[in-house]
Formats: sequence, C-alpha cells, structure tokens
Amino acid sequence: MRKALCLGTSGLLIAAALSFAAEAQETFKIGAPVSISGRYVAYGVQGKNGIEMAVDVWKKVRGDKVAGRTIEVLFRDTQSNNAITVSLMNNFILTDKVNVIIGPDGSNVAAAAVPPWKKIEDRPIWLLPGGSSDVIEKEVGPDPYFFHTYAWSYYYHESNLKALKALVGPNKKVALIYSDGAYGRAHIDDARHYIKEAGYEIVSDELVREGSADFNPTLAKIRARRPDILYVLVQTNDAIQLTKQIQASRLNVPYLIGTAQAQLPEWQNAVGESQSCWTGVTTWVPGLSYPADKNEPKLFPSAADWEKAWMEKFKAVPEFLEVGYYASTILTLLAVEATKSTDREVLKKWLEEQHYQTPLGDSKFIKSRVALHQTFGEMVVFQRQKKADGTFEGVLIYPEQIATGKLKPCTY
Amino acid sequence: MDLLPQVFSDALLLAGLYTLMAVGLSLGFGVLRIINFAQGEMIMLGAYGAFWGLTLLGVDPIISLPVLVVAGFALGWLIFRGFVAKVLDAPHINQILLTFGLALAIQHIAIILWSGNARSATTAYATESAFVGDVLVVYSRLIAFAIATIMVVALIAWLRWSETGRATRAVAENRAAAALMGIDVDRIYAMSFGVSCALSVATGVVVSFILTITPFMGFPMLIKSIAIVILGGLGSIAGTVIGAFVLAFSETFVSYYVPDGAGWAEGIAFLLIIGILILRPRGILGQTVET
Repeated sequence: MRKALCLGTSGLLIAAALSFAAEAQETFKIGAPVSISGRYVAYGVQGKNGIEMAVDVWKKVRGDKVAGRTIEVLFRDTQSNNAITVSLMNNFILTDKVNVIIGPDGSNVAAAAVPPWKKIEDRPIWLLPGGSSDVIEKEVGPDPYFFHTYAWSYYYHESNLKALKALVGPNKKVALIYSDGAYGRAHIDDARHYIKEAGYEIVSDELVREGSADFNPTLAKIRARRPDILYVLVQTNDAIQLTKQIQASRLNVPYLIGTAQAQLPEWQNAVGESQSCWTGVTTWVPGLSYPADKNEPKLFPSAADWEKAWMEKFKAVPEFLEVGYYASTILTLLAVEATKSTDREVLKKWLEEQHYQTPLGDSKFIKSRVALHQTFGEMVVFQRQKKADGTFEGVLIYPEQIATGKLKPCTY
Repeated sequence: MDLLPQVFSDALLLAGLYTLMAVGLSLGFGVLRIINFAQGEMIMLGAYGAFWGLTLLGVDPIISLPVLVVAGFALGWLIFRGFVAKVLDAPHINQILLTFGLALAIQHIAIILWSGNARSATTAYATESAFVGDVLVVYSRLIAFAIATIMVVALIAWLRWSETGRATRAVAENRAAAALMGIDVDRIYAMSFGVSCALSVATGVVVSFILTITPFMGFPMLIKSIAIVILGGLGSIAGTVIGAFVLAFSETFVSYYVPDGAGWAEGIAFLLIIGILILRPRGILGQTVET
C-alpha cells in the first residue's frame, strides 16, 4: 500500500514538473528594464507605454498568443540607477530566462546595461529603442545579438548640419556650448566634425559646468563673437536654465540649435515662451507622413493612423520613445510568430532580413559605425514656433519633402 | 568691448544669491552647533512652493515669498521639536545622520509627489533684461539680489537690535551663561532653526525663476553653502557674506578670463578656498567652535 502511495505521489510530482516545464516553454518572455522612478522617469514611462500599446494591438489583431506562446512582459524599474540596471540585466538573463530584452531608456542606464549583458555567453537578443550615446555603441561593439532601434548621437549632428546647410546656406559662424557631463562629452567631437564638414567656422567653443548656477559669463563671451548659429549640447536640466538665460542675454543670434531637449514636454513646459524658435532633431514628431505597411497594415498603420489610435488610448500626443518601443516590440513579436521559435539565432536571422514600413519609418537594419544592426535612425529637424492661439508646436523644417513649415530666424 | 564692468555686475548678483543660500546654514550652526544637511532640501521645498503657487494659483513667486517664508519657519520649528532637539547633546555623527536622513526622506517624498521631472517658474521677468551702458543686467538676478539683500539685512537687524535676536547671539556665544541669565535656550534653538529654514525656503523661492527645479537640486547647493560657511568662518554671519562674495567673484573671474573657464570655475574657486583655509584654518571671520 505504502509502495503504491509513493509511486503515485512520485508520478504526480513528475507530471506537475513536466507541466510546469511545458508551460515555461510556451511562454514568450520579454524583459523590459524601464526607468519608472528617479530622474529618467519621463523616458521610462514612455518605454512602458510603448510596449503595453504594442502588446494590446497584437492581442487585438493576432490574439492573445504569439506562435502558440503566452506573451509575458516583465517590467522592472531601473530607478534611473546604473547599479540597479546591472542587477536587473543579470536577473533577466540568469533568473527570469527572458527570450528578448527591450530597453532600458536613457543613455546612462543603457550604457550600464551593456557589461552584464555582454559577459553572458548565451545572452538573449537585445533591442535598444533609447540610448543615443555612441559610448554604448563602442562598448557593445559588432555584437550579432544587439539591435539598436534609435539614432546614435552622431546622427543628430549629421541631420542638424544637413538641415542648416540646406536652409540657411554656407559661410556661417557657429558658437558651441557643451557641458562637462556625459551628454556634452559624448556629442562634442561629432558636432565639431559635422560643423567643419559643412564649411562653417566655429568662432566660440565653450565648456560649461553641469549644474552651473550662472551661464552669463559664457553667454557674454559668445555675444562678443556675434555668431550666426548657437549650437547647444547640454542635458535637459541645464538646457532649461540655459534657454531662459539665452533669452535674457539678448544674444541676437538668428539660429538656436538644440539636440534632444526641444522635443521633450519637460523642457517645453519649464521654459515657456523661451522655447520659441529653438530647433531640435528627433526620429519622431506628430504629423509625420509615413505610409502603412503593405503586409501588416494593422500592426504598422500609417504614422497618422497610429498617432490617432495612440491619442484615443492615452489621451495624449505620443512621444518619440513611445513609438520606438512600440515598433521594437511589434518587430519582436513578428519575429517569433514568423519563425515559430524563440531561439536567438533564428530570431536574429529573421530580424536581419525583415523589412517593414512602420509609423517610425523603414525598419530595415543596417550597419552603423560599429554596431551591426541599426534602424529607425532617420531623423527630422523641427522648430518650435508659436501658433495663432499662443501655444507652441514643432514645425517640421527638414527634410524639405516632408516639411510642414519654414525655418524662421529668432528675433531675440 | 571691456568685459570688466560686466564681470563685476555678474559676480555681484551671484554673490547676493550665494549669501542668501548660505546664511541660513551659518545661523543654524552658529547657534545650535549643528550642520543641517537638510538645508538644501529646504531650498528645494521653497522652489517647489513658488513653482506650484505660480502654476496652480497664478501667484507670482515674489508675492508668495512671505507666505512661504512663514511656512518654512513653521516647518523648521516642527523639525526641530520633532527630531533635532532629540540629538542636541548626542555625538556629532548622530546629528549628521539625523539631518542627512531627513534630507533623503524629504527628497524622496518630493520625487513621489512631483516626479523627477525638471521644472522652472516661467515669470515674465525671468527672461527680461536691460543694458546699462555696456553692462547687461538680467532682471531675475537683480530681483534675486534685492531680495537677498533685504533678507540678510533684516536678519542682521533682528540679531543686533531685537530682544530675541540679542538672546540668540547670547546663546550662540555661551549656552550655559545664557541659560543662567534666564534666556529660554530651547525656545531660542527652535526659533533659530526655524529662521535658518525660512532663509533657505526664501532662497528656493528666489531660484525658482532662475535655476532648474528638481527634487535633486538641494544637495549641490548644500555643498556650496557649506564651503561658503567654512570659508567665512563657522557661525559668523558677516564671514558668510564675505565667503559668498569670495566664491562668487572667483567663479565669475575664472569663467570670464580662463580658457574653458566656465567648466573650471567651481574647481578653481574651491582650490582658492582650500588655499585660504590653509592660511587661516578658522576661516575669514571664524570663531572658536565649542565641541
């Protein structure tokens, strides 16, 4: 009797273990490190929204599963902290055994995520829809399992200078301001390179301290040089103070060029009227005219339709990381669905060969300076202009074929 | 163009801001012999108070200043009674841990309540300016200087001519003797802590339309305030004013006249402070500190 009981119990345990194993195999796990607290919270919330929207759309269009597997997204908060990001990456790979990692958001936490991911031999595919610093690219190197789905920092300057050359012409004098922090240092060499390549003269090249209480000395020196273009490379906190001080300083510079900050509601709200006339460069602004994909029009509708659907769901205009995370997540799900596999070699091959028209543009991966897989790096240049009702909008000014307005010189 | 008048103007306006920023810390240390590591967070709370007053109620930061200063005093009084009074006679490490812990708690509460997003009060005068000859004067900095001057003069007048102020100075000089003379030392302590917090809140209101407001803005200001207070001499209000002027003028001169100076200004200014402290370890007008 006791023997029969033991055998029965053992059988049940084995059956339960097998069923757990089967269930585990039938789950497609996405590891999503997102900064939903701390100083990068604005980015992290965008990332989370983008992934959630993608999974919702997938479930509506294709049902609850992908290739017969349950979709499980493991959102984990980086707390905008590098050490926590390292720990999260280790947990995703070693404990949670995720199939794909999407994120994290800001360049600092993304750079912190590289070493723990790189050191593990059987690391999963990693899609990075944020993080523009080319330090990340150099750290990752030509890794076959890394897919960057955002622009690298040098794309910003290449696009900005193409736009300036086309819209304001040659022989201009440029003043540069860059911070001594990671952001300024990551951008300055490429900015100088493309400014010189455009044939412009750098008449002032000013280093500022991150978190400085006063930028007036820098601005007074620039005023004396009478540049045509002011090119600013500082992170958002400094950009807010600097933007206000620039307006107060009466520099009389016709073109104020920024990089990432001008697209952030955080900067726009904090500087108010001072945002007028600043240009920014981004992969996404509302009003883009990308068409729907011919094969997957429900997953990748036109940019206008996608924007409309987003606004219905979130009652807000989509931000650049939201569309990036959306497109990256849908690509991942399509890869699993098409290959019926979660094997990284199979997924890698499919991702390398896919080609869709997404709300963020062409999804084909190409090689960048160092990384093997780069997409969604096509950038547009916009200018913050005041509308008749007193509010501001980002008017697309370059490339000219999709421009919705003209570059206007600043009047202060 | 001769930059020297502009350099003096910028340095003077910055010095006013630095004085207001550090004088609260100086008062707190002078009377209680405690470095309040939550002083930076009081600045942050003042900045958020002014920002939300403007954003939600449409009240200009200058108008909301008196209300916020009173609120800052009340908060300081409560913090003293609730926490600081318990460690007045404890070892310095306990006092440091307590005020540092308070700073972290306030910072995290701010993150939870208002997120980590950067903000700034966008008043009309925040971006206005005028040329006086060749010198550009930015109104926001001029207003900040004026408020700082009024607050510091009022503080000095209170300490010098009011009965409570004289009692505060007596406690600062000798706690035991002051108690023997019938001064309510605990009340003076609470009042001094409240006034020092109120001054920091006033600093926050002033910087709300100049600097970027975040929950993390307090700590760098605290570090700079500590440097100014040490340079001027621990516990000396006049020394703090001099320390603030030395730091502001050295930073501004380096920013203007050293290549890439704006990047190096703080570093060189702090080297100067180290040099002065080597020559005069008590600071410029420092008093002997009882331990």
